Amino acid sequence: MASTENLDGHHSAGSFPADPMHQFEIVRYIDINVAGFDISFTNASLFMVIAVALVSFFSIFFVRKQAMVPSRMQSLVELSYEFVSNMVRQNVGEEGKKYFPFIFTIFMFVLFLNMLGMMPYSFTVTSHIAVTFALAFLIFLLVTIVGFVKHGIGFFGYFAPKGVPVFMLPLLVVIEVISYFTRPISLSVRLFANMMAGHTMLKVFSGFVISMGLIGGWLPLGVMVAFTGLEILIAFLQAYVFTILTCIYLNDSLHMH
Amino acid sequence: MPQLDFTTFIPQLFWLFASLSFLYLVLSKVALPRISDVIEERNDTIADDLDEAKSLSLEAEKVVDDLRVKLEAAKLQSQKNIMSERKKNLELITLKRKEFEGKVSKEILNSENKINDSKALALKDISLVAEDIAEELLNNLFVRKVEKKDLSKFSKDII
Repeated sequence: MASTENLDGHHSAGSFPADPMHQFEIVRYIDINVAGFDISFTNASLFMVIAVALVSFFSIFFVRKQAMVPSRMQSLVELSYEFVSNMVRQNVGEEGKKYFPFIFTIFMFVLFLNMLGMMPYSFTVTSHIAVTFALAFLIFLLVTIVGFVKHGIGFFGYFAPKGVPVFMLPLLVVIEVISYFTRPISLSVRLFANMMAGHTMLKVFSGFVISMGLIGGWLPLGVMVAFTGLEILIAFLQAYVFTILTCIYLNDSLHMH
Repeated sequence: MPQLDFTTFIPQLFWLFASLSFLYLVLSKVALPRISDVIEERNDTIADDLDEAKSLSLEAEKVVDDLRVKLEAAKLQSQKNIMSERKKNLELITLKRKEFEGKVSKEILNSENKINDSKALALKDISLVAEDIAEELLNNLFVRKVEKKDLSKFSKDII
């Protein structure tokens, strides 16, 4: 509703100059249709491709010399490598090494999507529940498969922790099952809600800057600057939280409780 | 809310899986092995260098210890040498001194003998002269001739 208003260029008195939700709209750049499936190239696709290109470029181009004394950028790449590698080692242990490339990919992908979203006029891919839920569900599936491959049918024992009184078991199993299956939801909603709320708030404040004019607009502008700093922190933090929860879920699958 | 527009889900999911799989392939096949190679190589180099430094410092310590032992031995040896030289020199000095003293005492003895001889000779001459003088004096003093043999007896008594 608000978006059509915006597109028409009409603003009723007291409404924001820009609809804060407008930034989340998917814009189709190239219409592609393969076997009845709509796989159009949209602004979301564009930013995913940019993120992939940037991560690939950073991690290959800056390490091309494989210098013993690294340049600043090589140092940065190595730092991120060791950051994720430590995270995997501390949360999953030595067995987690096999899954390190996957977790590194997830971290870098989410981090770059979040960070790219902080640029003006860009699009935040991770502010879409469809994307974050798909990611979280992929992780959920992989982690569950890993659990069954490692423990076989014994992985069902995950839902019945050892050392619990028998009469407590029916209740506990239900709780465990629910908490296990809500994992992809909590994981995806956390990232999506953080990204969407932050960007909406920034947009609202930027709307205040315009509507309060040259005299009154400075206060919301200052608040916006502060919130931009906070949002950059959150962009990193949410990527970190997303990755560390992935590690914790993987650890649960590998080592049970 | 644009997030709930289901018509956008399929293209988003397609591009998500396409880009994520591509990124996973690039990172796991190309980028990450190279990065881990660099880091491992650096760690190896650092470890090697540290080992080498440790072994070198151990060697240096050993050399210093050797040096100290040798220095100690040399000090001891030099002290021993000094002592033996001093002893030798002392012996030589005493020997030379004794030799010299012997020579000197012999000279003194010789000189004394010579002096004694000269003294005796002189005394003898003196007594002869005295006798002569006494004889002359007495002959001039007294009328009677004094026999020389009495006088010699007399002078002997005086001397």
